[in-house]
Amino acid sequence: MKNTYFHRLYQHSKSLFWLVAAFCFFTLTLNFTGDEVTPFFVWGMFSEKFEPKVEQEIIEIRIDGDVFNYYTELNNVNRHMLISPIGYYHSIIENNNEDPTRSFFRSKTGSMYPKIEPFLNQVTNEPEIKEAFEAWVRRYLEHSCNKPINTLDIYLKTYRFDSQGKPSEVKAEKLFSL
Amino acid sequence: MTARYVFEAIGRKVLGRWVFGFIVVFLLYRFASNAFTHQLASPVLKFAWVDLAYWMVHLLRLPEMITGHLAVSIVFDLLLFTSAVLSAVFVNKRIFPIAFGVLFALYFLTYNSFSAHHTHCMAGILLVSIPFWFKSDKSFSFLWEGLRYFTLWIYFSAFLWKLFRGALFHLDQGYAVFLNETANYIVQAPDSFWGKTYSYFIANPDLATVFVAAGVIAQAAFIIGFFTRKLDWLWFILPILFHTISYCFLGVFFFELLVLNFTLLPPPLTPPSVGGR
Repeated sequence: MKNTYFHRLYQHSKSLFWLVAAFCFFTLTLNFTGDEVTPFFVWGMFSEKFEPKVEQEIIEIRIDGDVFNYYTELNNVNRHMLISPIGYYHSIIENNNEDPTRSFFRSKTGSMYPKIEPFLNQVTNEPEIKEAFEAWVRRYLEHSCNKPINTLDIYLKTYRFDSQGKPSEVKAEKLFSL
Repeated sequence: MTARYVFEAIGRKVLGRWVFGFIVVFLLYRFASNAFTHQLASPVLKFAWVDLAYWMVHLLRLPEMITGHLAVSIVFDLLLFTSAVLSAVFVNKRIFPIAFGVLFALYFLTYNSFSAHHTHCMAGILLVSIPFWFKSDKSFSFLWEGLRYFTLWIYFSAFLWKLFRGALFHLDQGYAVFLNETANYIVQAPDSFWGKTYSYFIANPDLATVFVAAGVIAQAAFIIGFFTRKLDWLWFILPILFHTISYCFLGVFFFELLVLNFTLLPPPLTPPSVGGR
């Protein structure tokens, strides 16, 4: 027992001990509740059950009419910064133009919702963000590709994968054009 | 009472050079990835979700202030990069790691919010500077030892999550995750080497299941590290393999987390008579 990390730390410095103990306490507590507050991380990536979906939704970007292959043109971090917000933008549209974060809090907080709503308004996106976001996609793409863009079309396409892993397009939905 | 190993000033200096040198390299990679705040082109869509840290910075409007003005974002990026470089050069001047830690926390929250995904890949860089904030070598050594336990916890808790949420016993998990993560690539580049490789794995789903199962078993093994340091070489190698395979086969870029691997190395230039076994 005397050789344990926490015992040795306590002997060295009580304040440092409580600092580390608090970090461990919040990390463990938030792992039990399944919530995350930075820097008390929850490492649950890919832990939820995934069912194989032969139909997959893919974001397609067309610049000046040509398909932009963001897997070969952009590296991982650059691609993530572009594609992930488009996915969230789509989830807002799917949620009747309401930020899913607001819907989540409304469903969880019940009668408390009006009290947190003013704060929520500052940390979520208004429906009017649509045009500003679309303009941002163009700006960020122009910066990433280092060239001006005349026309931009963003699609959400659904592909069906056969048993050999070959995709075929089954549906295309235009998210926006500029 | 001492930490397992006590770093003396020179050992701490060598370690600091490696750690902040690693961070500088990854900051350069982020610069090349158009991911510095001045390169984000004034993003507008934020994602705080239920994380109170993101709520706090957005209520203070810090991410909006940093990215909303080109001059402010350039100054912020220069300060962030310079603080990392100066931390590597003047390791024992604590002001630089402290400045870097604060600035990087702001960068972490800003990038993650505007990229609409709270990625953990930068979590290691977020925490690794903290031991360098402390003057006492003993305090540094204790926090460094604690960071080693945190590194082991990352992988072991990832296993626990898969165990308790049932993914571990879900035979289709590997195939389903694989299809989900690689579909985009196959559509975009079907005739490339990786496009063909991914299609092969989809056509042979048992292979994907074996890969994911091997990864989960490896994560479970990290618990051994809580009881002995004898296998630290293994816990050093496994994350490198793990993140390389994740990057190649799932497109998940987590190499920045490898900064925590430094906690698994034996301390440099530390007299063996000081500290533990």
